[in-house]
Amino acid sequence: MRRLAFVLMVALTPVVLAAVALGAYLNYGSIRQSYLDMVGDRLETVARRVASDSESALSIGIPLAGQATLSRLLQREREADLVLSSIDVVDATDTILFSSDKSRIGMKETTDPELTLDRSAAIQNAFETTEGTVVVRASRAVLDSELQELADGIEHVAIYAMLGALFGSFAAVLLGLRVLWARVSNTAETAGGQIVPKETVATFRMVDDAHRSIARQLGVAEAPKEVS
Amino acid sequence: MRRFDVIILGLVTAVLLAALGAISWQSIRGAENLLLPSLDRKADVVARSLSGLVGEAVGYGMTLDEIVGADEVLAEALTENPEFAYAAIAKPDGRVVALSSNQQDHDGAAVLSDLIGELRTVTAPVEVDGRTVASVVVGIPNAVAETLIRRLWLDIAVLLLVSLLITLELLSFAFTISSASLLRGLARRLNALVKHDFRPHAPLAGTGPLAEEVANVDHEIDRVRAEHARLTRVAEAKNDEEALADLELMERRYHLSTERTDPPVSLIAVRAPVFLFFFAEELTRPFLPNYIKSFAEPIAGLSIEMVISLPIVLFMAIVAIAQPSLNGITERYGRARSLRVGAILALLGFVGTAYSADMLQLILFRSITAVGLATVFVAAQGYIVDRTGSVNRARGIGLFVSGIMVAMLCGPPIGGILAARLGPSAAFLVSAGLCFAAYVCASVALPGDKPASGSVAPGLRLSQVGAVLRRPAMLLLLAGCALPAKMMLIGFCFYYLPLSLASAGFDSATIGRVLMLYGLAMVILIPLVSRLSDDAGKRTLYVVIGAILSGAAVLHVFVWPEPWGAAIAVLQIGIAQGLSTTPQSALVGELGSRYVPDLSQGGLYGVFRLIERAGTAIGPAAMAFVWGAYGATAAIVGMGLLVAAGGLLFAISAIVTGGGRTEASMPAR
Repeated sequence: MRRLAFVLMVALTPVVLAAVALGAYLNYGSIRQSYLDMVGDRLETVARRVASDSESALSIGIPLAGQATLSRLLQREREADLVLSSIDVVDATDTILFSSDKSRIGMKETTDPELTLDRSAAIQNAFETTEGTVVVRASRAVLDSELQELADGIEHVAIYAMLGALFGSFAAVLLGLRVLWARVSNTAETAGGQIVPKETVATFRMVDDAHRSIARQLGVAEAPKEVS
Repeated sequence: MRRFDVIILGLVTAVLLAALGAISWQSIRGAENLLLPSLDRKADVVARSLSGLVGEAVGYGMTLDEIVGADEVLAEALTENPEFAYAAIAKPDGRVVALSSNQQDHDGAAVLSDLIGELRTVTAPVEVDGRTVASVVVGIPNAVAETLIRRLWLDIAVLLLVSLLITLELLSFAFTISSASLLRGLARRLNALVKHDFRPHAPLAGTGPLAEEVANVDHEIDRVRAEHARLTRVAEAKNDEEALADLELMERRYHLSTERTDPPVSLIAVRAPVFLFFFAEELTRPFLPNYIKSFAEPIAGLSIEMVISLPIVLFMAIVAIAQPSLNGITERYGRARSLRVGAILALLGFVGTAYSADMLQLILFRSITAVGLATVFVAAQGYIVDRTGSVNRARGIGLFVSGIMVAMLCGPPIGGILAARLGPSAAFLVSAGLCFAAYVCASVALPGDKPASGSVAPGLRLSQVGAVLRRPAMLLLLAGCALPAKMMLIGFCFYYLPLSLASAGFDSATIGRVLMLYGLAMVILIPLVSRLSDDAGKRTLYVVIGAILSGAAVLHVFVWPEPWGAAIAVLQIGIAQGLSTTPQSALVGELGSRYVPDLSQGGLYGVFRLIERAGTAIGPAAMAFVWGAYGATAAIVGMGLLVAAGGLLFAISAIVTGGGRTEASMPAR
């Protein structure tokens, strides 16, 4: 009994832990993804708005490199959202013309998905050819720090949930075994003198009674209660 | 025993639900703290973007009432951001001049106060020359975080179902240890007797009070059965019809002279390693084709679809070709030992696949996995065949097949979730871990077997394949029904659908949930149909209906939007194959003994399995070839037509030859 309870507990432990851990990860992963999608949408909206302003200027004949007011717009947009690390306007040769971070002007545009989450929008002229691109970036470090609180909270509850689920499962095993054990250890003696589970005695008696009746009808002696 | 299983499963379900519920509650709280401010910021960005556009229009000299198309611009913004309740432009006096809403309650609102209500709002002023001429207002529903978590509960529900099925498998496994098998054996006897079932049970070895009680029950059953047999002999000798009628009534009620067909309790031990092993392979279904695609490079003369199918085709071909010869090898080497070797080979294959750097390595490691899979399959099947007789072999094999079916139900959704959240390589490593668990289970529970010293069963010979396929009825059953059914399963469900759904932007978690519907239908239908098709003696009908339903299932992908089209198609194929699998298998034996009486049942079923396995290799190859050459529509329709046509041809041959009548429906000869 004890050994069986132990084996059942050992078998259930990885299943229960994996189910709760995976559930916790699914919760975290889903919220994380929603958050990153939301930030991505925000970056895209900003990129599109800057691109739209630039296209308006292009449409009245101001070339991209001459749109000096863009610097102020990029600075303002960057300050309005603390998650943003930079907003760049890049020309067709991938050179940064304007940026919310002045030190980046003149540099070649490069992307590192490990460090930043990027969204971009093309700047097109009236002939729908691309004059440049607006690249909006959010710092992964800032995003991760915002996600850390969520991760900590879920991890904290998940540990308690795992422990609770584990003890709950152990209790289920012990309770189930106790019920099963009670059934098989509640014994009684049959007409044949055998000790069997009490629940079965009535069934044996029923069949014995029926056989006895048929034996009388046939006029034969009842068989001894031991198998020959 | 069932009461014990129900208690454990009920309590474990409650415990897991409580644990997952607590985590979701914390997640909602955390999500509100994280997402709501983020949503406000997003609303602010959208509102400012819209106010910029309106300000530009007003700056050109238009009044707010003159701006044309403002409603459409707001509607477009809401389409791009469906989580917002509405977006509106209002004059400083609060009069709404343009509005778009995702909620009907807001339609037709004339003033801002009608809109705001209980929603949170973000407002951006529209400024022209430093003065505010209007404002853009975006409304945010309060229950965004709850909605996000509610969507997640579909994944959680799948996870819970799979956890419970695995728990059930592990409970069965835990009861194979010697003291537990006595307890289970006694509980089985108890349940049978309570249901008036006096059929004898396989004896159980052991010592102690439980073993004594088991022996006592068996002793009593033997005594009662012996008395019944004695009285029947006496009644027959005396020709006492009344007594004979009474005894017959007792026989029907108590099963006093029939034998039990249950497989021995010891066979349950093989189910857990088989389940874990096939669970490992089934995990890969939703993401494997796309994983292969990430390595695929053009090869001269082959379409890219064909290149992607190569590792799958090779895997299936190895399994098909290796199986006939592996029967003799595993018998000689020992079934349990072979099973363990197979699990280790597959473990190496999965680890190698996870770290493959190019297509060649991927093909190599998938081939190693294929050898492992074929070995485990043949060894486990042989283990059961070796320990069962003609009376209980079907039930024993049923135990093995149902383990694989449960794995087909559990594997794809979990594999999909793992691949979507952790990446395919991590999911392959989880598969490797499960192979190791299968190895441990096999080491613990399967008794050490001595390698066979005498003659072993011969492998399948080509002449046997020829002898079977020369008979038109057998040819149409095997090549017309069994082969296309497997082509459809692997070619359409497990090769084409994961690729097409991924191309349509669905993640592997969604693909996994779609593919699990096949296993779900099979798990539910196979036990039902195996009884019904035998009772009604209408096996041919079931096979034909299954083929036609399966062929017609492909139409759903053209009718419904994805992923629903794929989901309904997979479900219908599962139902169709659930209807036809058992009757088809039974028909092989039945028609075989009629048309190829010289061939043993073993040889007959060897040919059947070979043809079926060939279908699993031909399916993806044929699908990929037609897809690459003539497009996806041609490939899908062609596969559907092939399956349906095979079934119809078999139906015609059955009508012509009278093969549709099975033993059960034929007059007594």
